[in-house]
Amino acid sequence: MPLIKNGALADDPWTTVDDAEPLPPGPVILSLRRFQAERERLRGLGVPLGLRLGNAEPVAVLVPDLDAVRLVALEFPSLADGRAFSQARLLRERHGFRGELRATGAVLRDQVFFMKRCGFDSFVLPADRDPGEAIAALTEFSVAYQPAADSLHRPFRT
Amino acid sequence: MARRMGDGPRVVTANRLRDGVVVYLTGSGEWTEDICGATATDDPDHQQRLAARAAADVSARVVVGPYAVPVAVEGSTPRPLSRRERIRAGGPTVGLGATLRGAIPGVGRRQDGHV
Amino acid sequence: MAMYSYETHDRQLVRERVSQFRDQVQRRLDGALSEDEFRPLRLRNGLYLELLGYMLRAEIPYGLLSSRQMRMLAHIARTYDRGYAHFTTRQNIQYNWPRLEDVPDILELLADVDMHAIQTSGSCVRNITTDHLAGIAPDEIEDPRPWCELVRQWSSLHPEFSFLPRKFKIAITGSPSDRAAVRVHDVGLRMVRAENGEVGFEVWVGGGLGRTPMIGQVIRSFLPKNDILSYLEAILRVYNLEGRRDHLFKSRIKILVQSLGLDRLRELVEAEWAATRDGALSGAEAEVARIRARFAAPPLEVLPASDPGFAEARLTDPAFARWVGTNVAPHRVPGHALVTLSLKPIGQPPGDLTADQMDGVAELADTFSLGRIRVSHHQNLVLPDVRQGDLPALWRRLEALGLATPNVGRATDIIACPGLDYCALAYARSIPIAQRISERLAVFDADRDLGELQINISGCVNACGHHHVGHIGILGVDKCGEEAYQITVGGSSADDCSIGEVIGPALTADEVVDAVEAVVVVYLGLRRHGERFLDTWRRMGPAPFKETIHAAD
Repeated sequence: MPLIKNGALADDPWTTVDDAEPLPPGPVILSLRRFQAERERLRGLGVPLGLRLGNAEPVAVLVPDLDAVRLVALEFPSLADGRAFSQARLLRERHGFRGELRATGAVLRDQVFFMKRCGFDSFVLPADRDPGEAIAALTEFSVAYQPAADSLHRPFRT
Repeated sequence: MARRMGDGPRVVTANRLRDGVVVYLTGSGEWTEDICGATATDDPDHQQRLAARAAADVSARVVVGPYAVPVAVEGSTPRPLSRRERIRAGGPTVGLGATLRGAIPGVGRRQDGHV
Repeated sequence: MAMYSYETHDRQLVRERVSQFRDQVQRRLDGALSEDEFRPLRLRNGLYLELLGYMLRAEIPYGLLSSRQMRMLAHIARTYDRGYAHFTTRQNIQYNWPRLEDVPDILELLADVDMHAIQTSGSCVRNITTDHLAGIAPDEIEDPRPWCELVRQWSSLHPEFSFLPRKFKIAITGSPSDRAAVRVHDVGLRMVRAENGEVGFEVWVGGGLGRTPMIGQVIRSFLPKNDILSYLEAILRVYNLEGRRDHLFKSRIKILVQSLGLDRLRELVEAEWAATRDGALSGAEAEVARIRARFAAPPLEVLPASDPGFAEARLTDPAFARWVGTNVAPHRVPGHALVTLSLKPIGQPPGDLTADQMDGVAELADTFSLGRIRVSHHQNLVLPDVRQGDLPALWRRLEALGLATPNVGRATDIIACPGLDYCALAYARSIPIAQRISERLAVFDADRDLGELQINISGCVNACGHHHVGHIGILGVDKCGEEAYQITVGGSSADDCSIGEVIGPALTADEVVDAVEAVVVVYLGLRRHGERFLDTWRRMGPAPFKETIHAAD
């Protein structure tokens, strides 16, 4: 599936690993549950760690481990389910997460502009979607009315 | 088309994608705005064929949301049994929508393609 | 103040939205988008597929229109539709027959006059509504319109809140007297003055009509004005994360209020707000000052409190006097008046206006009201800044346009949704019921003066006609495949907000008109001098009204 990172097509060095699978070499994306169960061992491995967080899992649980996490993947189960927009802003703006914030699932070009504004910087597109269109859609608007995780909004004049 | 087949005559209706107009499937597999031109059938096989035709025209982006409408056939004219479908076939029963029915937008402004 | 004038970046955003939607329509026509994928995208731009075709809802921000915009609405109705359009209870306008392939061009024309259809449908923050007397009402604490514009801007294409569990409606009023129905909104903001003189908002949450009608509750009794956006963002964030998405009928914030309880919801919102209130959204007051400056208009000239020509006409022409009594309201600026144009001629569909009438209204606005027009949530239009001395001339012109029915706030000023004549969700028709009740009660009102009486009609439980808060409400239902109607009595959306009570079985269209008449006759028999229908109902209770319905049954 095509990966867009920082506004361009990119190779994906990360492997998403199921809870029961052995860890492959290289950067891995694990569930929160597995990470919590194997925290000490994983933190000691020295490989880049990524976490995937469910929409019902509060992002605050990640806070103690954000120093060890290089990537967080949030899922969009469908176009209609926008919880990950809030999760992303909380991670970026409340908890200061600086690593890669990845959008997965039903990542539609009609939503990537909003995703980017909420702090996502990488996007895994469904296999049948044109990455060129999605890249173009990242800059669909040149103005915005509200502050978010990006700098598009002109701050209120105080 | 989730509705049950058989059980009395039905016509197939949908909205045309490009302009939203209510249309009915004719015997030759075209879509018409006039329910009088619609094919009404109570033969399950024929109903299946109409349903398949409508589904193909959804894929071909001709129509949206086709379904079968139970009708009574009076003479050769199908008349929907439900009020909802009678309104879809004939337009609003009252008010400006009824009195201004002749003024269809776009007519004379541009040529329609096929469909 | 007149209305907000767009800056370059406002125009830019609307133009870019039109381009985006043009591309989405093209992708639908080309087959890149299926109908399932396209539906939520088109809805977020106000485009429905209804019973008879597409329906486009354009936004009239908190009900404010200029004559120039009204002329464009007329032009669109004439060129792209069938020569008329419908004004809604959310102060918006609906076109019933646009072609999908024309919609991008229609949006381009709207953009030419600083209008759009952004978020007039879909699971996002909808048009902000307010008091149609904003800036005019003598009891006002502060003009709410710059605050409406602030919230409109903040909520437009909000990256976090464009895919909420369900639609989200916000109303704001600047007056102690609620004419914006804030208690039946997802969030209602009521301007209040604290004991120390500071002005802020009382925040209501969880109100709404529809399938599960509820009156909102106060989540915060005083919110400093400066914090309005951070507090709204906190509410929306909690709702976006916690609101139900598994069941369409349980996804509004009112259900979250119910399941968490108000106290728990308040805890969550306050905790969220504590973390953000000093952030980038603080400074709302400074931003409102900037916005307010863009509303600026020369103040109305102060005139003698009473114009002699106007006083004379009232004395000599009973028809004019009657119209003044119902359709003209006092203005804050002496010598001026606010005029309501009734879109409820007796026996006609509520809220519909032809393109020619729209042009006529635009001309009258230019001649008599500085080009300013408003849409009220009662589906009427308002000319807000008319000189008293012009009222007789304006009245004659309105008569010629068919917009001077003297019935504002009366029994025949019926609110009705489009119903089964247009709407894919409706079970029953609303318009013909409204027409027949209007004809029936016009006679009564002329003979016996029914006073203030609000009748609301919805064609289904989604309650677009707000039947729950009508003094008399009528709900269309399906009874074994036939249209049927249920009557509720005792609702109100004002300060004495209440949900009406069902008073009898579902009736046929003929029976419901008779039953409404019977209810009115009971009222006439019971009312004390000057008592409103609603007050008689509240004093007597449902028994006498139920008896008459059952006697007729």
